[in-house]
Amino acid sequence: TAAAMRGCVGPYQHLLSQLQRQAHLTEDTSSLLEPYIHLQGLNTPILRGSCTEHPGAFPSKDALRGLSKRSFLRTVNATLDRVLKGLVALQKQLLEQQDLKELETARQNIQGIRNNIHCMSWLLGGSSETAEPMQTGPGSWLQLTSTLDVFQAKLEGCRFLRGYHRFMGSVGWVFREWGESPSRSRRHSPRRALHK
Amino acid sequence: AEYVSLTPESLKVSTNSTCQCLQLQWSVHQLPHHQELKMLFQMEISRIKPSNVIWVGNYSTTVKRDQVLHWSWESELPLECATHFVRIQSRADDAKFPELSIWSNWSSWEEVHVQRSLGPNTLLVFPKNKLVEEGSSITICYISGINHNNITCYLHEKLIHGVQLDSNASAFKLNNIPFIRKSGTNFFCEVNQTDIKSGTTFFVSKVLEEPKNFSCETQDFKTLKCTWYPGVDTGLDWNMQPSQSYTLFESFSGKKQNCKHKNSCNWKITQDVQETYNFTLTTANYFRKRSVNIIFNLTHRVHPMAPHSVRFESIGATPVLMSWKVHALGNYLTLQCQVELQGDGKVIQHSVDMKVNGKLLFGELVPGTEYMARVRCANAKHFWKWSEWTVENFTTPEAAPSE
Amino acid sequence: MDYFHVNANYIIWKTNHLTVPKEQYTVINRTAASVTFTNLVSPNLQLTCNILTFGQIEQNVYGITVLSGFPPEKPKNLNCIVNEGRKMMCQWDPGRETYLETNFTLKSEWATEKFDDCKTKPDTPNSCLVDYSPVYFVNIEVWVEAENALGNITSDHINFDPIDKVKPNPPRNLSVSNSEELSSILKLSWINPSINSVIRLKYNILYRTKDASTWSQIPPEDTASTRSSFTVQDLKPFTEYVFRVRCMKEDGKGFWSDWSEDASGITYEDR
Repeated sequence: TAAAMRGCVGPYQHLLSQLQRQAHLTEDTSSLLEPYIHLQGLNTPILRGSCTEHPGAFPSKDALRGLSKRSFLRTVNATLDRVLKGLVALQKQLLEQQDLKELETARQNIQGIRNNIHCMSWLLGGSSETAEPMQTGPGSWLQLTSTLDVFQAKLEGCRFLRGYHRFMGSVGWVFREWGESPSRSRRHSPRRALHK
Repeated sequence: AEYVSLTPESLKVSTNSTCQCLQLQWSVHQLPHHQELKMLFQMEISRIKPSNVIWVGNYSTTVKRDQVLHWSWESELPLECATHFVRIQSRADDAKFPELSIWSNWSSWEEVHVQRSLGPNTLLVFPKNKLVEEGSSITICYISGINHNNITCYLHEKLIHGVQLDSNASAFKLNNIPFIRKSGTNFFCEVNQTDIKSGTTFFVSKVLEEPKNFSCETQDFKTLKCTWYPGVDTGLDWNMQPSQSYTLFESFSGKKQNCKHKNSCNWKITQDVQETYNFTLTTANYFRKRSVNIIFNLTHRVHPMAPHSVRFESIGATPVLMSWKVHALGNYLTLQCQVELQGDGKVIQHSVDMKVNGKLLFGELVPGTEYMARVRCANAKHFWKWSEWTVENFTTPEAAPSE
Repeated sequence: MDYFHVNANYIIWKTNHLTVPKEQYTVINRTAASVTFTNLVSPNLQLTCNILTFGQIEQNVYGITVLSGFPPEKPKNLNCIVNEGRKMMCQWDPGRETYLETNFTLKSEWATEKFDDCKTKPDTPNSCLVDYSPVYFVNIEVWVEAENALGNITSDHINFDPIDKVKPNPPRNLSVSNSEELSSILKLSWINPSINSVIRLKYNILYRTKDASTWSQIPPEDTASTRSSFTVQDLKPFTEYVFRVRCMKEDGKGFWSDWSEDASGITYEDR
């Protein structure tokens, strides 16, 4: 609708640059994972070793690279919706919200990314809402709140955030592969060799 | 008299992992029907094997025939880490029945285990999510199908050595536990050169402190504002323990009120006749309750609001009449007000008693001069606190030109 | 009216106790009269209707307060600033004095989200500090609505990325060190504000000898990219210099930070 589009300013290159910088901002583990690790007392070599991304919890880079632009935007939007739910679960672990103020910043940044994705989808003539949930495989998504074992839940929270930051790195990678114009993608340009 | 045995029967033992308790229930069937008898029961608790008795204790109660009796015992070792054995014997504990005062036979050993199936790669650490108070102790244990020598355990980063209970279990006794963080202290074990790890988080609550500087005052005889210094917040993350609660109880009225804030509480003054108040402030968390008490007369705790409507009226050349008002206080208490006038390099101080309207005449002021006046008031009869100062400036009129 | 045997003709209108000229009266009928004011200047008027009884005794019938003013003008020059680490503040030119209680509301939204209205305080009618944290790299649309009893009006909308409205915190811990080998140089070092992790910065560096009153500036093109030190050359040997530095977003969007604390240093003696 016109109203929904009013905030979308474009042009494409400006919006793409914003998305790339947002991805860069959110892939940085010091923005959320590191503070979480310190808050939960997981800052030891052994426990850090356990804080690995659950296989299949988030779409892989290659899976994302294989999507069309519109499908990619829908997948990122849907995944970030689930990340927001995960952040709510992390919030419930705390006595007071300000114990981990990075959570609120992350939530706002994710809302901002979804806003830009909404605008980019509009620019590309699609919609970011009708998300086809990407089949991310059998991986455990987010069993934070279901487990009664706090120690296990801490590791789950850590693994969830590890995946989130990696996912945002992959999203940034794909956005950097997008070409200067809405139709072209650098990755599809003949000149570029396929990087792993 | 012929000896009669009152052996406890139908002994059943269940476990509660949260409180690490063995919960016993049994009956004494041979009692005469309508008879009630004061009895003494002795329990023996063994760990790992029956011969390894770790606890003996008594329990005295009055018993009816076939009544189901209950008793529980808290283990310092998580029940998951060892098999326990319980047996019980009894005797009458009543001088009227000497023939029943001989210990009965022991019941048979009741074996209790919470153990899970131990696969070759199983490593489980207990207890889960334990809540303890700072300075107390905790026993943590693991069970595993793996050789103890290949298992290393850590308290946060520190390597910790335990005591081997049996081929599958080891225990770690931690004493005088410090508070480290609200999100709990992590204890974990790993199997060397493998990814097999397991752990637990236990929560250490700071010791609840007694509220300090508890005091109440009123500014309007409608509300009493009580304040205190709460001390440390004993709240913990993961919903393990909310911040401590605060409750006000007034004994003369018998009323009680939960306080929303952790350092203040407003109490509505309902009966105009009640002069004396006896307040008890109680704070509580899962481990402790602390209370402090004050008794006072309402009129001895008046902290007036700052005066208002300060006016200055010139009367003739230099005299100035300063007037002010105070908010009505109960049955119009007499207030003592301090007035300070600064100007022309001098400070003039006065004290005035008043009820609702205050007046003060300043003579011999310098014409055409700016003055700063400030006024504050307090209860004249029973001083408690001064109100805030109210400050106003004024300038005396220029002297009339001489003829 | 009958009791005093008077009618609408006997009415005397007064404003703030001053009689209104008869020319402005209109007698509608025996019991109704009106008065007309064409160009009210006084914002706050006491209008009373009085009658002359017995031909000489003025009797007040009724009175009202007339508040007069202007509808709000279109707020202009709306602009916003994000002081690093704090919330966004927007300010605007509220236009002429309206003499009436006028409320200004700052509105802001993304394409997908509306933010809470920011209502100005009576003592600061032309600025508002929003109560949400800035989210960089997301364009936000902002405008002002002004309203009073006589009407309401909306400013032009502005649309921007908060990252382009940042006023960084000043560089801190500015320090100066000299060089034994080169008596004409002094090296400045400082710590950049933390916003540097999000935006690239450029700098202004001012310097003067200790006793001078006017500052010299390092050519901006020499300090046009992110750095945390700078070597000032062509200085007089064995002379004390004072320095200060400020920064802003490299592309010139946003606002200059405040100046850092001054720092001074002495060049080495000439060999």
